[in-house]
Amino acid sequence: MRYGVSVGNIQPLGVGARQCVERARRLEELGYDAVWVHDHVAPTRTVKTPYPYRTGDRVEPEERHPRDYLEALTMLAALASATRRVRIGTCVLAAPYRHPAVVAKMVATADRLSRGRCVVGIGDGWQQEEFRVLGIPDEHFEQRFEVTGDYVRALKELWTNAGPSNYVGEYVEFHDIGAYPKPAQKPHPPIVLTAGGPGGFRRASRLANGVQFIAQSPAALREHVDALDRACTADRRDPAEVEVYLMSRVQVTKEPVDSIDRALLQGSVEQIAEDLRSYEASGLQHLIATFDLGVTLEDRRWEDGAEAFGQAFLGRQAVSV
Amino acid sequence: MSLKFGITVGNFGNYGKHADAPDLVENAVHAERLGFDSVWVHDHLVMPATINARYPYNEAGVAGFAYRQDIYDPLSMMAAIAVRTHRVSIGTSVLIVPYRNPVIQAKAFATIDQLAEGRLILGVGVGWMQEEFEALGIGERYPRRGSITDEWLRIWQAFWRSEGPVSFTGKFVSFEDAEPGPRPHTSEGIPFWIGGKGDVAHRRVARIGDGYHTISSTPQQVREELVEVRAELERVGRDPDELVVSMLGPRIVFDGSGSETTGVSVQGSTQAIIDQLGEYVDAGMHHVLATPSYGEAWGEQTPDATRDAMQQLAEEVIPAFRT
Repeated sequence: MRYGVSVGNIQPLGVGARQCVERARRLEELGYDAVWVHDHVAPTRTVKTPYPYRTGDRVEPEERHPRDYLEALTMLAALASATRRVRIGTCVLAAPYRHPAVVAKMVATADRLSRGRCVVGIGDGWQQEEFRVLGIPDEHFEQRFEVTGDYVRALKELWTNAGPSNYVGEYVEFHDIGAYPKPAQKPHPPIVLTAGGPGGFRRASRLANGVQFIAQSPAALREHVDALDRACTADRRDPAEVEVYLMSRVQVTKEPVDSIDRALLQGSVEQIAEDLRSYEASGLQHLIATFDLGVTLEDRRWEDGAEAFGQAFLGRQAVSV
Repeated sequence: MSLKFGITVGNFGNYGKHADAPDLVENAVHAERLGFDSVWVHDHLVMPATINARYPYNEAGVAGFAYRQDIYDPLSMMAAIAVRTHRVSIGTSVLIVPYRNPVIQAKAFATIDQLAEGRLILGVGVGWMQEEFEALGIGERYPRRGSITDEWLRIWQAFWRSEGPVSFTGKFVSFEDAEPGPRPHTSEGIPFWIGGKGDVAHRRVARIGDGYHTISSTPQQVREELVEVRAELERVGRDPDELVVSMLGPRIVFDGSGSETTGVSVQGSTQAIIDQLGEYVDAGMHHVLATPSYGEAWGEQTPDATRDAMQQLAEEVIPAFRT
């Protein structure tokens, strides 16, 4: 299993972009495989759209605290420039938020800056209020699944066509345009799509190099991975070509957590190790850990989590290799 | 004489296949080490294979761009440079304001300014290449690109200055209750240096500019432009002396022979170059983006040659303007 961590670019106020860069440098030193950024731009203070990734008893706070929404693709470039080894990725870019030409150029630039270390996680977006702030038509929100598929096809055209690029889709169209530079990775950086049902698995089978799930239990993940494998087989695609990613909150505690109250990947090193074995058996290949963010520069919750997890699991993996 | 010096890092395909994105970051690091004041990036998003729109900044009206030029994203390049430098200003020459979503841009520039700890300068323009607007699906905005630019700049200031959620009602976009963060590094925000030439650009300088950013003018042209720009500032009750005057150019060519090159360039012996730059200072120029070279053709220069020429500029020319 490969271990990555979100640098927490959606920040409590005032913590700042430089801090995220320092986190990425530290994650690289600790031996993590990847660093990740999220993509929210300007949510409204009150969000009525239900958060679709709720699991178990954990509920998103109804009242959102003000945060700094450090922009995902500029952060991606900063992390590319500040690190040398780790993969850098988006978990996940909300595809409908930006014109594919904007995404193609920024990701290609970050991929060249990092000499081929980018991973492009892409989702549909879910927060209608944020779509409206960005001036995106309501029908693009309603059809965001189709918009995303369309934009991903356009991205591939822009990244791979050495001649002038052309694309005619339902939601985006362009003719005879040069899109250079091309990414360093050929044919393009890995595309990791979110998916939750048969349509999503079919889309991933046809368009993606990976699928990213959010906060699924090992058992639920197994079911999804089986469904993904079936979708690939139906398309005559080797399921091994579509890698499995999971974004999940991780919390390392000193003492074991009572099993009744315990969230996934929460607890002592031994408890988390057990969870990781279950996930690995379910087909997980890439963990994207999120650690609780501190609320001030002095608050070290994120740093403590990243250090504790890294010392426990990256060291262990190194020994077993 | 006092004059500030910037270089363009070469994100416009300047080096052809002789450089990759990390080399451009190294150009910026090198410029900082040599004592330059600023480093700059250009902006285009896609390059239409056929361009019929008139290029406004040379007599032929033809830009001579090729669709295969490696035009690295300016926002990404500035973010990358920000984390590898500590002192130099980092700017756009110029950002084409209407191309990208205004809210995402507000957040992206505040992010870059935080990464750069307050060193970001936004040279801004309205764009001219109609085909590029069309390729981006915003062809209908081309005739109104000036008003859109004004509105986008007002949106950015609304985000950067607001204490709480931002609501905005404009001619082109409206929204309510959007989270404002992140903010730029300092409360002064991010300076706007207004690009372009002509009456409309001059009025925009007076309306919203911290600086005027002209392109490829001779000293005499700078003098004439500044008469108009200063008049516009006075008309709105601003002190013309508070304005930063800057220019993309002149190109500096160290070839010692005085041979002709196209565009606005200064060349010849070190003393000749100092004298010609002095004419810009006399005309009212404060800051030039004067990337030096040894006269190689576009796409034929190497980053090593650029850095040699930068070192020569830093050692032989810049000291004359540090008094």
